[in-house]
Amino acid sequence: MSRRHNAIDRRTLITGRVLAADAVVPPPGGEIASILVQARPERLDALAAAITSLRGCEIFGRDERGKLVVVVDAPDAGSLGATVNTISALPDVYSASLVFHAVDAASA
Amino acid sequence: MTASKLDRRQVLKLEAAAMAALAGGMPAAATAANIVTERNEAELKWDKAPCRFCGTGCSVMVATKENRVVATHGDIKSEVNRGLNCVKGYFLSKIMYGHDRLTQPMLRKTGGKYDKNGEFTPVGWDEAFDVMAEKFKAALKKRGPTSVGMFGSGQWTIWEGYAASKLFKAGFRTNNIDPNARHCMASAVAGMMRTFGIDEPSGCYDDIEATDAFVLWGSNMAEMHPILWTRVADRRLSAPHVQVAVLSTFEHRSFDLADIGIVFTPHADLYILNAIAHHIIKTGRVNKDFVTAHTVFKRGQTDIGYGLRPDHPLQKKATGAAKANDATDMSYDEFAKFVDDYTLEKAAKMSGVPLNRLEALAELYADPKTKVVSFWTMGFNQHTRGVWCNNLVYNLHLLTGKISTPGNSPFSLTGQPSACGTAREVGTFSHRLPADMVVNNKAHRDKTEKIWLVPEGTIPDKPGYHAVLQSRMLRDGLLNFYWVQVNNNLQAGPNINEETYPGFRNPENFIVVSDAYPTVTALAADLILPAAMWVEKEGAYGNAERRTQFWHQLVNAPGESRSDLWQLMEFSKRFKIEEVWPEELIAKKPEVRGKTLFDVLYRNGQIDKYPLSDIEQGYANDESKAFGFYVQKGIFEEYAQFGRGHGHDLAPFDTYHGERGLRWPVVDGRETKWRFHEGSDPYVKQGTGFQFYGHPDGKARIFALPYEPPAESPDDEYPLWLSTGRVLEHWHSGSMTRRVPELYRAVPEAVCYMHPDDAQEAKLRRGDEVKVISRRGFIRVRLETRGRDRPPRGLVFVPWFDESKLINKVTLDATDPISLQTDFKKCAVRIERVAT
Repeated sequence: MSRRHNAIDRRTLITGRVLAADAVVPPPGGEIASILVQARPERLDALAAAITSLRGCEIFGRDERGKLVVVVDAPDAGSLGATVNTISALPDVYSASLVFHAVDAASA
Repeated sequence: MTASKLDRRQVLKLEAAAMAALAGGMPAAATAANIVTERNEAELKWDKAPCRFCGTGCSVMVATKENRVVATHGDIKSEVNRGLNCVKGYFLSKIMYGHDRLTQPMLRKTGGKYDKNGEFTPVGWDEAFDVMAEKFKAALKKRGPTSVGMFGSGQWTIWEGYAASKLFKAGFRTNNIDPNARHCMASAVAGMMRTFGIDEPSGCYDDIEATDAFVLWGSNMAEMHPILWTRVADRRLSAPHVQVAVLSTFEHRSFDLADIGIVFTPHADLYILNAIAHHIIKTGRVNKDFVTAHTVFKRGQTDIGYGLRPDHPLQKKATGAAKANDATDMSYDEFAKFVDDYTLEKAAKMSGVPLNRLEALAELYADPKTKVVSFWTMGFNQHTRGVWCNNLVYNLHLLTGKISTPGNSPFSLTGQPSACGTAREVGTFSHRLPADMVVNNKAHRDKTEKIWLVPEGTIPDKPGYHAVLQSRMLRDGLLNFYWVQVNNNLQAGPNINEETYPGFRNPENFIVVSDAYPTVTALAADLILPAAMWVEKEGAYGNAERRTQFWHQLVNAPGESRSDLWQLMEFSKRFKIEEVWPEELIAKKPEVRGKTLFDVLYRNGQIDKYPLSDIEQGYANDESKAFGFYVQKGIFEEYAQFGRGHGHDLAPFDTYHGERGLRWPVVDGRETKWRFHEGSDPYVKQGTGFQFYGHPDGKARIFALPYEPPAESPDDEYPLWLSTGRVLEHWHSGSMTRRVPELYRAVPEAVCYMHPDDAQEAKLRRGDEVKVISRRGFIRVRLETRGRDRPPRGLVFVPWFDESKLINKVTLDATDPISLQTDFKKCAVRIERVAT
């Protein structure tokens, strides 16, 4: 908590070496989340297959009008946020909304 | 619990699925969701809180355990997000736990003493405030109240903004206080004030489900307001006649849903807007009854300049700069003649957009049977003619009478959680007071002084330094004490290379930054104060649809960190009234003599009226405990006096802790969804139909405003447009989201998006390291020719979240001359390969 913070000078402003990557560490434990996906209705099958192939993702529900319920089980914290973004960036997806999210699922 | 971990995990997954199904309107899951709620309530402590990221105002259920946030889910009872969250909702449980969270004040020191060029050294709050007060008083003595100032935030809670505004405007007697919302929606404010005489949108999010067409003017809702976009997509998919038009200077994710996708030449939006007005008139689709009864026409001042320093050639040349906000009366016929030049054909030529697409767009507005919602954010507001753009889009809704009724809504979205609730409504701008009042109006000052219980003449009568001017004054050594709270202006503000950074490091100045993390702004300051964030304090925000939402303090802030509210109020104890007010002012209220600013401003018999026992049982409240009264309630009730009975009515304090927010004006316990319309707005008199009561005549203004060129356009030396903006993964300057590990890894650094043909012509390849160079500075960055943002030829896009690639070293500090908001979307650059 009391790590040293270096003052910024002209040089660091130019090189931009401000935030070291090692300052960013994942929290302990796993995570569970559910995501509601809105997509082009006629492409639901292909999309469901694409999502199922992502690590930790399962389809738990489906609405033919263009919705999928995805549950993500990430035993090691550090992939969930990226997974939500990956899904929202898939072809034919209009939106991917996070509904439930628990950190350190093992003890939640 | 006896269940094994595996079982618990399975149950948790089923429950997570049930909640998503419920939120998605798949009814079979309702029973399961009830079980979830019951079980979770039994094991964890669940409370509501609005999300602290964008201005949408989603409500989130937050579970805490052992003083830590452990789970969140979208609040199914919220009318805004109806159980959903975007990926930012997922950051919420993590933003407070970044590895490098600031936990104690830090002062630059050498040899145990303050030194502007020293190293950051941990100090106690007493020492921090001692040095601050000393520097503050030295500045006051040397140059007076104009030499001290503050830069605040649309992420301040309502009471933080109120306490800060009162401290500076009444306590220190300077209007040099401005929020970062100046960079964000000042043009929307000025647009509302000019057209309607009262701030904030007429409609609300309920318009989404009632409309036939959406038009996005410079807004990438799919990435920046995903929950509202989900509602837009739902409407589009469930009602096939609905159309979506998306306008931007480059193609982005929102184009996926667009029926009418329009990429236009930067700044040509002014031309397109006038051409649509022309089309409405030419095809005889003006709603004449509405226009006659409820509008008047105004010719706006032209040649208004670019908000640059006064010695800039463009500024010297501008004949209308000193009276930029003026307007004169004109008739409907004169207006019709004015837009006569703006044909769709010319607009097509100016903007580079195919004519048939502009026709399709114009028809959405012109067709009397099509209800239209116009959405906009930074594409309009960050624009040297941003106020004009706001006025011109209101023109379209007013000419056709498509306003203030369900589904007809010109709607400015906001990017910060309380840009409306705090920056706009509390009036933390350098020219504003609460409830839309302004400092250069004697009656407004009188009213404010009366409510604040301070003598007549306390508040200075001239607007103070606004955001961009603050940076210039820091650099010029005229603003010598500067306090920054809840923002990262050295990364977010324009032209930091020439103005902001030299201003921060000017030896004449003392800079204080309150933040939760060591941002570039904090690290360039002289004193860093560690701040409590979000549910570490009791809070209130106001979202883009006038909805005021409260939350309780749910956990304690780490280490020595304290809320901004505590910091402001505690600092005020360091000033005796004789040190900040002149004798003649004190003579008007002799009982203040010998008191501190804390006594005069906060322990004033109003704010300290509510005892600690009023705090809802089971919740901590660190500030109230420290000061001995229910601070938030006292501030809110004093503040609410400004708006009640004047069209800005807020409900009683306690009501909000039990509601998922209410949209003001709240009259007789009822919120207002559509303002200015009889039947839905209690302020509209019976029999009038509509009343735009912000103006004394009850009429809205339709403005004649021409096309005027941007401040800087590409030329031989700098042949490309530069637009800056955001990405889905990182919110604003990334000070929070960059500390969420997987997001950091997913998008670790900003890239420069460029059209592949432009790259090929310059003999550049995807992944090359390039310099983006303007007349002001440069950054080094990797080139990207694919991906989700697809610029047209001649334009590059660089996001600003990355503190290692500060694109604002490159941008120009040209502002809209009326709103004083920077245009971050247009300046001229060239791209060079970095020699390897």
